[in-house]
Amino acid sequence: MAIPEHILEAIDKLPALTPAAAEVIALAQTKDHSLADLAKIIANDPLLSARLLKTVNSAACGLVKRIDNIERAVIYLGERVAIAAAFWSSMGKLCERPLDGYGAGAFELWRHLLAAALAGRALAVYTQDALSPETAYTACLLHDIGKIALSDFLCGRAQEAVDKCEKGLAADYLESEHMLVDADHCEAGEAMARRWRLPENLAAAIRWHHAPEQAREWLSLAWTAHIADFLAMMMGCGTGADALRYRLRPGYNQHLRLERRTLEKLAFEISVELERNLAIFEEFRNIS
Amino acid sequence: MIGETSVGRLVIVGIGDMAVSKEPGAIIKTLALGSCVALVMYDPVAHCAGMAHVALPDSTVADAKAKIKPGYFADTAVPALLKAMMAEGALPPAKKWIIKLAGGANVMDPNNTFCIGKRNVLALRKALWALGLGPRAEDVGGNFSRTVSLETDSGKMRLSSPGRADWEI
Repeated sequence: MAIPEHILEAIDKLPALTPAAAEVIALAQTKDHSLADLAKIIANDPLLSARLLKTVNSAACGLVKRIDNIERAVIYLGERVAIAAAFWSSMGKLCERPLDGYGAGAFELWRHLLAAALAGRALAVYTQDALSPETAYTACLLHDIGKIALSDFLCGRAQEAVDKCEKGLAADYLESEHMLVDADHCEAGEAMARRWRLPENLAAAIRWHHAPEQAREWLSLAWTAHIADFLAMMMGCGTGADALRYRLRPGYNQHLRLERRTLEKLAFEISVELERNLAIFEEFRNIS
Repeated sequence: MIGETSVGRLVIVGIGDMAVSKEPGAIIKTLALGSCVALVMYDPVAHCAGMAHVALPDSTVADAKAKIKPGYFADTAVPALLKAMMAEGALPPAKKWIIKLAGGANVMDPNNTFCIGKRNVLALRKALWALGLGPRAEDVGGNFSRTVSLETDSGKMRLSSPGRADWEI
């Protein structure tokens, strides 16, 4: 279904990704890249480099010896922190503001995206075709960007959307969104991905993370984003009124080899990693 | 995390954490429970209130973590919260306390792999029963998140969820 024109116009008015963020995201989709390649892109963005250097030398990282070059900073912080930092430098302010249309407070979207990204990275090794962890991480970091665009149109209507789910008028929150604004956050997210010229695999994962069976050649990535989204919501990292009001699609076990015990271990490891990442980003975002 | 409300101290309980207080006017709160469960204990005589934010049913997933953060797992959270309540001045026997559970939202999964919420609730009941205790009230299951707060003065337990009116159990 086509997205209403006024929503597309709002998407057009959103800020574009910085060149460094776009390049970092694209690089993460390639198989043979190195941390040196990543550092080179980051080094071309003075603001991002300065923030990363200050972060790596902050109390949150607890280094004894100071790091003065960006490649070592990237090695220490890891690729996932560098990817999220590049994305934050473009979209952080939007990801941190409250999602009024979903009844979510400040930082809830950012927390959700980070939790899902870490879940996606951890889930990648359980995919049938051994998805790259960085690709999974990036797709899951971006999977819900459509909520940024849709939130203003849903403003003040979270209760209505919840009512539709609870009274059985809508099968899930996605359908509620459609009934209220003629579009859902997956469609809005895909439109944003196209505008930002994101790689096709990412646009597909964003578009189909609630209907992964429709992702054609990107099935594995879309299923990973689907499960990562659920894991983040189960861990209490939702985005307000819609948290857990979606349908877990049957057939995930054909794409991800997950058992109960594995899932619990993953949930535990992700929550530990999330705490560390949130502490790092607390430093990162406070650097002026 | 500790803050202030109009009446007293606000203690936020993070994932896997526990808090106990008998400070007048204090509120103990935990935010956005998904499949996690708030285990709540209240001694109405000593006005001592305790809460654990339980994330997983079984501590064998990470034994070392369970020693540092017993509130994280259902099987370790129950004895740890009991002990913390006693240390704060709650009066035995615990059978006279009010125990409640909230959270444990579920995902409909025919394979039962994703039913962590349900398993958390079952594990908590089992751990309570092993000590001859049981919850007096529960607000568990469903497919929505819950924020839970507990007042030390009255033991009132309030719940909220975005897009819903607040309620009490």
